[in-house]
Amino acid sequence: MASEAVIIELLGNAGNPVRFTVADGTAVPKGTIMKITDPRSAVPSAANGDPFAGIASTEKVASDGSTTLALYTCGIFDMSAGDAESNDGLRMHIFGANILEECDAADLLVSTVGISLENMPSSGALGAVLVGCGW
Amino acid sequence: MANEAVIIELLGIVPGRPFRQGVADATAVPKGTIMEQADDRKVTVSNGDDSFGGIAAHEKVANDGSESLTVYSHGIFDLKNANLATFQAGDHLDVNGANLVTISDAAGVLKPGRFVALENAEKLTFAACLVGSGL
Repeated sequence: MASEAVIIELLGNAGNPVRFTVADGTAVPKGTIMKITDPRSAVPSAANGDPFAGIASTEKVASDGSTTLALYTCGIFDMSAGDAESNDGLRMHIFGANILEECDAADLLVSTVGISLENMPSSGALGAVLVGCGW
Repeated sequence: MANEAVIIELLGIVPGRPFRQGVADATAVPKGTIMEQADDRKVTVSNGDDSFGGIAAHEKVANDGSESLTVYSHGIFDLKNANLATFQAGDHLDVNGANLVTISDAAGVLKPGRFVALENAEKLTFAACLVGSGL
């Protein structure tokens, strides 16, 4: 993977971590943007419209025997909008593997990532995103 | 009442992020009741397509002299799907009946109290839902 989220500041209860189930065979780099799956499970984000579960708080090595992973759900993180330019102050959702995009109306029907705090250039450079503040 | 929310995990620095709302003395409120936000910082028990006012943290007996109620605003709770549609893990949900939730439509995502489904649910079944995360 690439373009993992980078912690700028953890808010709330040190990032308000929530524990999700993950498959033992899955490798998850720290900072991976995770997708919710049934039941109360998470997998790495991969595609446009994936519902957001949280951000991996630790690395998980594939087949290490662990079947749970704590995900951050509240904080400010540097994330990438890939090759699509994005403005500040917009709701962002998962567009691909660790890639965000501005929400349109349909995107609001599933769990979204957060609010962009700065413009994101089309170079794929990271920009700050506020996650989990209920705005 | 029936179908009250069941605590799975209380989140936040103060577990469940409880706060106090006004309530009519004559109202009976079972613990776990999904409350509707009303004017003047008061809540009533949910009964329709309501704005979310928290989850009753304790029972209130009718005419017990109390005019306030502590409600939880953050955690993972088992909530019951209404008899309208199935939902999938990651969908946004909102209050739609007495202690019932349903998948949000365009109007639903504008209401206070968006929940995130952590499990798939058929009609009239319970599923773990993330409340108050702002995702």
